[in-house]
Amino acid sequence: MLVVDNLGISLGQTRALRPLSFSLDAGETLGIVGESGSGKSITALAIMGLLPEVMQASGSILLKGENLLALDESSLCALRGRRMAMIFQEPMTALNPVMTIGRQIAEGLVLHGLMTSEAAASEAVRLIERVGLPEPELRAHSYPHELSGGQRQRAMIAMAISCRPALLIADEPTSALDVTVQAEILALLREIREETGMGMLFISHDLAVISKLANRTLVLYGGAAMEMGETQALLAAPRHPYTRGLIAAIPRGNAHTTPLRPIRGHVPELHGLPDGCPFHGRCLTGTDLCRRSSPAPDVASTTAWCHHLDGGQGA
Amino acid sequence: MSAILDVVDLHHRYPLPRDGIFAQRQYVQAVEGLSFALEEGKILGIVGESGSGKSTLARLLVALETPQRGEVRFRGERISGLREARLRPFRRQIQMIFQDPFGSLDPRMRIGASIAEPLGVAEPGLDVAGRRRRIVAMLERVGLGEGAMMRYPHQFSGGQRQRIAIARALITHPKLLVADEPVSALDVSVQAQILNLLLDLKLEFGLSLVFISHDLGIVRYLSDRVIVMQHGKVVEEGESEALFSRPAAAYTKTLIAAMPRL
Repeated sequence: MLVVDNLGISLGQTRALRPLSFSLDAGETLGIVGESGSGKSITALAIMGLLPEVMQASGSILLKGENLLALDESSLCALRGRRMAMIFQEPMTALNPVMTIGRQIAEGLVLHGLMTSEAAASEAVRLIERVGLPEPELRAHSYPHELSGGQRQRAMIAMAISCRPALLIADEPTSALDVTVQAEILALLREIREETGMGMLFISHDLAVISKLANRTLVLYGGAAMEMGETQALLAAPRHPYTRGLIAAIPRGNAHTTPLRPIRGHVPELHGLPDGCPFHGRCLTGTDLCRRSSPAPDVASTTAWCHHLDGGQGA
Repeated sequence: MSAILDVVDLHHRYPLPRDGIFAQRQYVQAVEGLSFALEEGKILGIVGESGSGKSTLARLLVALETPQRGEVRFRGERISGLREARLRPFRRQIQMIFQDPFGSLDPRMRIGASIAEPLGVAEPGLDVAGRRRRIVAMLERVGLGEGAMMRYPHQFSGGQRQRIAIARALITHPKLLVADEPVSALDVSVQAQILNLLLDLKLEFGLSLVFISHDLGIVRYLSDRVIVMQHGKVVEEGESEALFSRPAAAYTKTLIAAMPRL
């Protein structure tokens, strides 16, 4: 359904994303995990055609065979909301504060010519009920500020799925929510995925959250792919030193019994990264080869981009 | 064993904006009847969701707010409700770090001057060379070099800024550190570094710690004892391992069940 082939993003001389390829089937969820500067959010923006003008994308992004990077703005507008939709971490900034929830949900349906405004209004109420907001008719007339954070995220999901898009991109959709609300939203996304068969890109800094939803997971660091594979395989037997380090850095048990093993150093700035593996410098197995050349993908239980998969303990 | 911190029946509320000038003023009860103690050298974890009152509690503990009722005692002496002049000797012994160190560091002040500030108040007799020695030693201790002194906050990454905030908090050799979500804004790979640093410094400085977080995994990892808060009240309190492996309160069970795990 979605085929991203050698997608590269640059900001002047700085490579924000190195050529990245992945695909997504209908009904499937690909989790993208990464820290700040990993390139996970700009990948999403590139697919939606929402990259800031100062950034240039290369390669191709095929959505049902159509290359999104070759489309002009008006063709993209016709696809956005209709074939692909996105939800964000902070719904308050994505929702229109002076428009009722019901009208915002109905807007897409009318705009894409799917329904008359009357039909869209009642469909909006149905969607509000579907995403689990109480008293849907009343809620349709509420403004975003009258809802709690979790309710706003539900409203945004209703808006995103209104036109039954083939692709839903969720960028840290639960990171600002309390853990009990987060669990509810994740359950809702799972249900909707089953119902609609849409493909989902689920972006998060939190591996544990990703593991609740994603069939496959892509690990990004410093604008480059580190490892990709079935989520269970990747978590059970991570092959890349960065993935291993990321998992080891999550606190488990108690400090008295289990020492924490952090990754040394700090997340680098994108300019000033070496030509080779961006994790070079923080990686314990990093050598001169890692600094000079980008590793080729190595396919086994997962696909990993590393020169030293067999040697050393990693980070 | 003696308690470094005693909290007795603490109540605190915030006024809401009035509906009209003759309207009765309404309040939100942020903290309602909290009582607990923290023993010397231990880590007390406080978990709760937004609106549970955990950040209000932090501000009450370091006497940034005065409670409506109840009191906070530091080594047996009441600190809540004291006038600023009488609080001063306690200020150097009780320090706090926040989620966003950028918000607590003056953007126009060099790091060296920022760290020197609390030291100047706590030890006014210290000469320039002595002060500089202390600051350099502290910066090195938190993993930054002497070179950091002349730089500004924006020149550092999030993790480095939290190291600076820790250096600033510990420069006066406090006995109690209240940490409110200190690693929540940091990248996962950096979080673990800061947690290890806090554990090391706790031993080295003989600190007691109140660690507030919404992240149950981190609280479980770090704490000796844990308090679970909801709507301003304590829902459950206990030894960390026992509380997480055998939660008693329904709300604690809900929280633990909702926590995503690998």
